[in-house]
Amino acid sequence: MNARYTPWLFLMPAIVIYGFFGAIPILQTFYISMTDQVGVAGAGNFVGLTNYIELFQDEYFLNSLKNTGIWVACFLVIPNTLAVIIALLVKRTFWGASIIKTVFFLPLALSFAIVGVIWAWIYEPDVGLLDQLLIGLGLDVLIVEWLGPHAGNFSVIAAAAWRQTAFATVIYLAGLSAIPQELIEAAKVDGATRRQVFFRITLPLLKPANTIAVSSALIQALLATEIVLTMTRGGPFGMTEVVGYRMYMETFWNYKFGYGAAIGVVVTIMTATMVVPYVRRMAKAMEREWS
Amino acid sequence: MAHVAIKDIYKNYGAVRALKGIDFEINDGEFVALVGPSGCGKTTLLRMIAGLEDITGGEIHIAGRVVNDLQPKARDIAMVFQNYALYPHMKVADNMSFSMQLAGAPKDEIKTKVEEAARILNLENYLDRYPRELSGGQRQRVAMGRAIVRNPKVFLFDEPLSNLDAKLRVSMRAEIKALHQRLGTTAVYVTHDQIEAMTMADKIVVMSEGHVEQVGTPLELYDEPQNLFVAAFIGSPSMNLMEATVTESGLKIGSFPEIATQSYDWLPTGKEIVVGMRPYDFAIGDTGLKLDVSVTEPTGVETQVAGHIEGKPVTCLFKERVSGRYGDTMHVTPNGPLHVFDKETGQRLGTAFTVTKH
Repeated sequence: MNARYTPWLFLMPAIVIYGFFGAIPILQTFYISMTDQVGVAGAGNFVGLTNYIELFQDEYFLNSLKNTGIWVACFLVIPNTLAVIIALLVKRTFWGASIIKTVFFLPLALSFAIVGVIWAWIYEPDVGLLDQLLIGLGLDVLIVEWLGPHAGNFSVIAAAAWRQTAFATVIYLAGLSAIPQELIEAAKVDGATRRQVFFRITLPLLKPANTIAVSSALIQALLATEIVLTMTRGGPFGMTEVVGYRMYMETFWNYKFGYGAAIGVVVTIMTATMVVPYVRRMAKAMEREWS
Repeated sequence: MAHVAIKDIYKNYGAVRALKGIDFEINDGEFVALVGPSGCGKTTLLRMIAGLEDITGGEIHIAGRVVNDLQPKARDIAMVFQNYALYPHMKVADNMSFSMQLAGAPKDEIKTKVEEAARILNLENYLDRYPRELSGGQRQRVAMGRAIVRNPKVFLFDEPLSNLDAKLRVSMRAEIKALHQRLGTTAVYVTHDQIEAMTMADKIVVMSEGHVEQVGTPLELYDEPQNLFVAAFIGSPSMNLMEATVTESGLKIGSFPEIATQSYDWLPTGKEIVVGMRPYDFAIGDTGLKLDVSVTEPTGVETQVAGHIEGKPVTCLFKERVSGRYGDTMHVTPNGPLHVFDKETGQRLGTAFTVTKH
């Protein structure tokens, strides 16, 4: 064994596992997407790019693509901003801090499917927690049909963002505690106001945490499926459908495996193009820190 | 440049009293070292001067102004932190000029100031680097550069050399001292290393357990330590302290022959005292105190002998070359000034000089 092959030897387990559970399934999906396979009964005929051509003329798919776009936009902004604010607030030690932290982290213990069930109750017309709350506050005018055709997509996003915020808060809290207190003090001595300390010291130093939080948000937004399934089943009239949900429906309800696989490939490509730059940035930062 | 006054300063953390009435003054342009063992409150006091720690009681004046309620930035001070506290996401030049940027100084003025500081500190070639790309000594210099650029009234140093290796520490020590002499800015320097304090400071404040033990120049502390704490703390190796009794014509340690001294009216016969003898102030002879040798450490220029007298640890330094191994005995006689402390209070009574018997 020489120095040239030794590194590969160490990489082998990871490569083998990734190959079996990552690369091969992806390639297989890519192949299936170019067939007209129906169900699991047998391989379909090779049809080239037919599925893709059909896909980009499919009103339902294009609608789900639009909704996923809204998911991504909301997920990039809402959980990240809220999480930074919450992390800054609960970072300080005060009486009951650990209880409050637990309350904020709790959603993390729930899967998106469960979050969907809980929030479906919250959004329930008239008897749901949200409506009851607004009625109690005398704000009846604000009540809309939360899971209806107009607000539906945003209501689902809000529920998912609740859980994503919990995740991002954990990440930002870890990021905050990694910033040495002396840096903040040095900045104060240097004449920085609290605002300047935040924008010129704290925020830039949260960049590694931000990379993790943002790539996670992107992935969750692009892959969202279960929460739509448990909250609205894509309804009403497909107004809350997202690409992941579309893929699931085409594959497992309509048994159009080839067509579903084509959606899967589109999702994979979208995820890769958006997330890879972030992951690269993260890898570079780690390399720098460990070198 | 500024005069700093610390007036009856108290600091409580809940029920813990960290500082119990600290009082001293720092003259314009003076380099003052706050020295003491861990937990004596020296860093707390420095942080209170900086404005990073609230003041429980008393007043701190900088340049004639009470600064108790002023934010750090309003105090016109610069601080060098123990682990440098360089902003990792900023290049060296930005680290040094951050305070000027915040103050909205014009770009060309910032550039001039940074370049000047870089020249003083030999950092000209590193202005475009990030802190992580610098060695420990260079980071230390950047931290000082950041302080210099501000041209503050007072420099505050919080154990700035403790993260450096021994050799670098000695050279940085000289650099900081030279820098202070060049700039003439009032400086407060916290350290637990008494050698650092002795070599750098114009004035040393020795602290222990939240109060000041003694304030004085390095040599005042060395020559006339006011109590047993300062006696043991200042000087390396530290002063040998032995219990003794005052006799008619001298003093007596244990069962050994009397050490003859001049007579002093503060030294009444029969008084129980503690006598302090510097390691250098011994002569080897055929009679005197019996020293049970533990180790001898020759360094070429001198020989350090560590052992016990009457079971008490004692260190002696001899200019001559002495050999001895574990278990050997030696006879030594104090031949320098004897520092006499009250056994009960631990306070200094005076210095007694030995007389040679004929």
